[in-house]
This record gives sequence, C-alpha cells and structure tokens, in this order.
Amino acid sequence: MNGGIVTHNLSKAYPGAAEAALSKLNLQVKPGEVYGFLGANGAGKTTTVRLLLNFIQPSSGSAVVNGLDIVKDSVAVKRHVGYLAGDIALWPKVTGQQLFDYLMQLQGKDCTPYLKELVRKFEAEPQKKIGELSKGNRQKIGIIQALMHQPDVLIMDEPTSGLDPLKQEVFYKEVRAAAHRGAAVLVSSHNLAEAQRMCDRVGIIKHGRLIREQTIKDDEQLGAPVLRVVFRSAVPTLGKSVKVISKQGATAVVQAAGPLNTALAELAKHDIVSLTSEQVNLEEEFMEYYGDGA
Amino acid sequence: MIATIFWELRRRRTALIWWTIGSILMTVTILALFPSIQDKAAQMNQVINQLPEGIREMKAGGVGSVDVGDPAQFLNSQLFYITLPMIWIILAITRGAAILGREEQDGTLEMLLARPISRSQLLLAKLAELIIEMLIVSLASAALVVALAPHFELSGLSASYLLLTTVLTALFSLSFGMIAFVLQAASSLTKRTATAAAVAIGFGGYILASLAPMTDWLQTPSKLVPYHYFEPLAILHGHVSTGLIIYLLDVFGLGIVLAVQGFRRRDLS
Repeated sequence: MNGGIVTHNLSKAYPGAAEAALSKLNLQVKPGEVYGFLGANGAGKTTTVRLLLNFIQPSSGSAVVNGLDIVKDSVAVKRHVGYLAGDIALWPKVTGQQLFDYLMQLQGKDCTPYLKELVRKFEAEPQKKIGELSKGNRQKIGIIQALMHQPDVLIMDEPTSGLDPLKQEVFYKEVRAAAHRGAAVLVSSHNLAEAQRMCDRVGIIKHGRLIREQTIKDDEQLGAPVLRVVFRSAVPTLGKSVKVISKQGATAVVQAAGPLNTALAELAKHDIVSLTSEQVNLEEEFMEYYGDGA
Repeated sequence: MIATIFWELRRRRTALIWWTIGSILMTVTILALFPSIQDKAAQMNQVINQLPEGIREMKAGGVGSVDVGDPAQFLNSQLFYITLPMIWIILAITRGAAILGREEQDGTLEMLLARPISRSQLLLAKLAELIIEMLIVSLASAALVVALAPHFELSGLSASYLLLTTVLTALFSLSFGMIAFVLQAASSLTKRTATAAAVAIGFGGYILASLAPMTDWLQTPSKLVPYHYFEPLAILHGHVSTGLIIYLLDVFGLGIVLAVQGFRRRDLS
C-alpha cells in the first residue's frame, strides 16, 4: 500500500519509564478510510500521533505515511499531512488570516479558494486576533489550517473539542469529504459516540498497546446508545439483553447488549424514576467494556 | 526560511521598537553626560583611580587607570564595556532562550514542524531573526553614536571604529544569547534553565574578569570567560583582539553546528 498510514512494530519508550508509552503498534489506515484511534488518557494515542509527525523518535519499529518513512523522509511526509494537535496552541497576537498565510507559505501551496470555503462553512473569524477568540473559534482555526491544503493524510487529535454541535456536523462532513477524495484520516479521540459517527474503523489502545480493531459500522455494541437509568430502589438484576457498564446505588449506566427494543423491554419490567441517554466516555466505558484481559 | 524570518519580525515588531527606543535613550543619555563630566574630569579621575583595582576595573571598563575626560575612555567605561552590553545581553539571552524554547513550551513549535520544513531550516530561520533583531537595535544605537558624538564634544574618534565597536559589542552581547539558544535547542533544557546558564556565563564572567586583577588565583580562570577578551577601548583605537575574534567564531560557528545537530535528533518536549 503506497498511500495512507502503515506502522510496523512502532514503539516508544522513555528512559526511566516503567512501561513503554507505545509498544509494537501495527496499524494501517487506508486511503479513503477514517480511522478512529480510541483510548483513555495516557493510553498512547498522542505518542502515536507525535511519532507519525516525527516530533519524537521511535525507540524501535517503523512507519510510513503516504509511502514515505516518517523519520528519513520526515519533511516530504509533511507535504502530504494535515495535522491538528489536541489542545491546540496558537499565537494569540496574530490573526487567523495571518496564520493561514504563513502556514501556506511554509506548505508551499496557495490554498486560498478552499481556505475561503472552509472559513465560510465553519463561520470562522480569521480577521480577529487569535487571543480574542473563544476556545471553539480557536479550534475552528486549528481545524481549517489542518484541512486547507487538502492533504492526503489527516492526523487529528481530539478535533471537535470545544466545537458546538452544528460545527461538529460541518467537521464530520469535511472529514468525510476528505476521505471521499482519497485521504487517509486518523482521528484520535476519547469520544466513542463521535468515533461511531465519523469513522469507518476504530482501534482501541490501552497501556501503549493496540488491543482491538473493528469495523465500526458492523458493531452494534459500539453503536448502541448508553443510558443512565435511575431505579426507584437499588439497581435490580437485569437480563442478558442489558449490559451494565457501571452501577451505584439506584443508578446504573447501561447499554443494549442486542436489539434496543429488547433492552428497553427488560428495563421496563422495573420501577424506573428516570432514563436519559448520554454520550459514551471511553475512559469509563472501555475499561468496563473490554476489561483487563482484553 | 524567509517566511519564518518575516513572521517572527512581524510578531516581534512592538517589542523590537521598545528595545530600540530603550537602547537609543540610554545611549543618548550617556553621550549627553560627557560635556559636563569633562569639566570635572580631574576630580572624577582622582576618585576613580583611588578605588581598589577590581572595583576600578568594573567601573572603568577593564582598564587599569582612568581618564574620563578622554572621549575613548569615557565611551569605553560608560557605554561599551557595561551599559550597552548589559542591555543587549538581556535582550539576547531572553530571546535566545525563548525563540525556540517558548514555542516548544507553548506547543506552537509542533504546528510549524507539521509543515514541510526541516528542523534545521526552522532553527536557522529563527537564529537569523534573532541576529536581525540584534542588528536593528544595535545599528540604531551605532548610528546615533556616530552622528551625535561630535555634538557632545566626543571628538577625535574615528566613525568607522565607533561603528566597529558598536557592532562588536552587539556581537559580543549576542554571543550570550547564542549560548542560551544552543543550550535550549540542542538539549532538553527548559527556556528558564538555558537563560540561567547563559546569565551565569555572561554576568558571572564579567564579575570574574573584573575581579581577576585583585586576586591572583582568579587570573587563570578569568582567561576562560568571554569578558576577558572584550576590550572596547582597544577596538575604539582600531585593535580587535585575536581572543575576541576566536571566541566569537567559536560561539557562532560551533554553536550553529551543535544546535542543528542536537535539535535535529532530539524529541520535542
């Protein structure tokens, strides 16, 4: 495979650390694919992203991006990559437009037409100084700079952090459009619901190891909504159609283990005070979902 | 590379204007003092030359005896040996440590290195901007010194030597910024630690070089500090010491090699 991202036993260990930050990662993101890289804080997602961008050097193993070695061909790799850091840092005293102009010069590509389109779609404010923007508006600037040169590979860490739901939708559409154009997209996230909304495939990383990969659309478990149920008294024993993620007192966080209507029928057998749907938090969900033996 | 230099200069323009104004004001103030000092030169010389040797060295700009009525000695002791270097060393060290260090600390460096620009290119562009910044500040002062010296009765000085002294003072000051820059770029030292190390070498070296004549055991170690080779009075008379040239070539030549090699290979923090 020439395009996309391929890692081979990619590892990173820091001197003095008890365990490797990333251990023998074998990952493949194909052109046209949106891959969700999921895991808790410190699981190794950001380490992987920083390795792919050559911000840190691998301890062992290798990776290619768009057919180019991430270490030897680091500069060439970046001609093909759009990158958005998690918790993006920008220069507060410059305007978004000044930043875009500078980054276009570094990229060696005039992206003005698509840039204008992105600014319009995201309703960004490029004439304002970045320091005057809200977190969500700064995030838009970050997203736009990653997308504006229409890269072959997109690497994004927590991309929708701070975006309102409307702009999240715009972002999902743009990512999907990039994938249709043939871009390989690696999105690192905590948020399972977002991954399910956006990705073709997900990989789950824990303690620096990729513990599971799956095609998200085929997985009903991942797609099932998470429900917070408050019972009249202590959480009762529930049938197999309901998977209990966590419980405390009269409150249980559950997910349908099969068809949703069967799970709801099971819950309806008990005296329920309230039932709300909530966004899945990986840190809570996946530790429970896959357990320590995963 | 040009884009990065302009980007930096644009972001720095307000600070740069203030540094230039500060440097100019300091220069003009000192030049303007000369006519009144000249009237009282004899008394002042008597007072200064009675000071202990080390203190006199610090006050007089590294020379044994002082004649503040002499334009060259006045400029040496009051402007080039301590005042301008002090201002410019502060600028050079803070910028040298921060120009990559602050970007690394803030996380903005990653956004730049996510573009098709090599670490070496980025480092050299940042260094070039630092040098340009120092040149702007120092040449503004140099122009003033050359233009105003005759008006403040500082006669008999060659304009080209005045210019040379100002430029070498700027390069000497910048050398400490270079040390901070290299320490930060080539290693994982924080901006603060790199600053502290360069300050210790710069100002510690000044104190050591000044006190050396008073204390026998300091004379050998004082030869290891940059200030030992910085003699503005000699430069004002057209003599640049070999030691200063070797020091500057080493710091800038070796510094660039070390910074590039270290920065290319290390992990960003």
